[in-house]
Amino acid sequence: MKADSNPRFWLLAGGGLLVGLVLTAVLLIVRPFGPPNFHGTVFQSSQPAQNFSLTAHTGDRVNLHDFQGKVVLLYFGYAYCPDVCPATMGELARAVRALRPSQQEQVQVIMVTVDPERDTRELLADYMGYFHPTFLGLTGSEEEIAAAAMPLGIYYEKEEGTIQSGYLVNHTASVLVLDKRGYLRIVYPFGTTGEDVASDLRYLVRE
Amino acid sequence: MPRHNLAPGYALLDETGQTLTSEDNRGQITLYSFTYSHCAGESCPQSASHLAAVHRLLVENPPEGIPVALVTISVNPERDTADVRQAFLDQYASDQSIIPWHFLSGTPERVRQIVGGGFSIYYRAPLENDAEQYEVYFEPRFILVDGLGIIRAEYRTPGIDPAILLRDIHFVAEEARRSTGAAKLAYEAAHLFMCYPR
Repeated sequence: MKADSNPRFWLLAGGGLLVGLVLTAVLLIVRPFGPPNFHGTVFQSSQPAQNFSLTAHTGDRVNLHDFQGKVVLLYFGYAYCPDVCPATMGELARAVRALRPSQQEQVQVIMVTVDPERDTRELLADYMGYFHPTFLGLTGSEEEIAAAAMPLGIYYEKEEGTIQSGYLVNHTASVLVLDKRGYLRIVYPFGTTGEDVASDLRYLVRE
Repeated sequence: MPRHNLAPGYALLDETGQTLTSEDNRGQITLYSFTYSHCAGESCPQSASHLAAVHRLLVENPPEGIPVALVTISVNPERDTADVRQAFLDQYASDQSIIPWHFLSGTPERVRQIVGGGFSIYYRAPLENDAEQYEVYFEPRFILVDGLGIIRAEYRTPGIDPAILLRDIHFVAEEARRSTGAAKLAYEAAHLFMCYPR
């Protein structure tokens, strides 16, 4: 008997195909709800990141804990920074722009200056606006900024006389991600792309 | 081993008077401890002889391929000058070429910020700082930090169990050897994590 004239063969082949299709469909639907594959170092924090209080470029006094309810991308940099800071802020802007408007509303990018001497509120406002209208620049006294940076593992120091036009500030170039509860969740090294950040944010805003 | 928190970012002075920063420790496993150079006897929470034993333990059992360092921060910066800290290491350190051991300090305010605020360790300076017999009260603590500057374990004990310490250090070293991407870079090209590395 030839296989193609056997009804049982066709039943099995058709059934197998159907089961395969259903499984594929289920996997495609379920996959986005699975555990995320984040693009940085993932933390299992047991408490919210230590609070700090600084002045925003808008003039408002803000606490880190004020931003609970949003996913916060926290970076320490400065406006005169020639390369690393603009590159990082550019990638963060790309990440935010890659999100839907409803997702963008749930994300706050913050840059704390490590050069309060030169980064006036006006300069920070210009600098932030250049990347994205919602980005927030924070400044404060030397003591306030040190108190914000140190517990987050951020080290910085002024390098006097490094360039003719003034000085550079050497600083840890990581980006910190705090979830909506204010817990440290991810740390990205310098060079993480906007696409990778956006993909992580899409998961975190749903939490 | 979970990643609960980042180790504080800091700049302090080592036993030769050179600046040592938290970024200098990136790419190596660092075991932090806290003491003061005149810490001796049973009343002292983390005695010099115990730290010496920990250093010897690490020198005799270094993990393969991943650098490890011991960093001790003074809780008595007023008295622990660079010379005093160097003399302490000369007396208690084993082979520094296998496991470097640095004894850091700074201005009392900065040490208070980093040890008290950053590492969350309570300590109390002596009331009388001139007497021969005096004590600094502090909570004994060892803190294990990986090459990315992340706190991986804390031991709230005056005397650390050598088996547990070696198990944890070798675990973090094995994880570092198997790491990929950014974590691998932290061990192989730590300078990439700073803006303008020295």
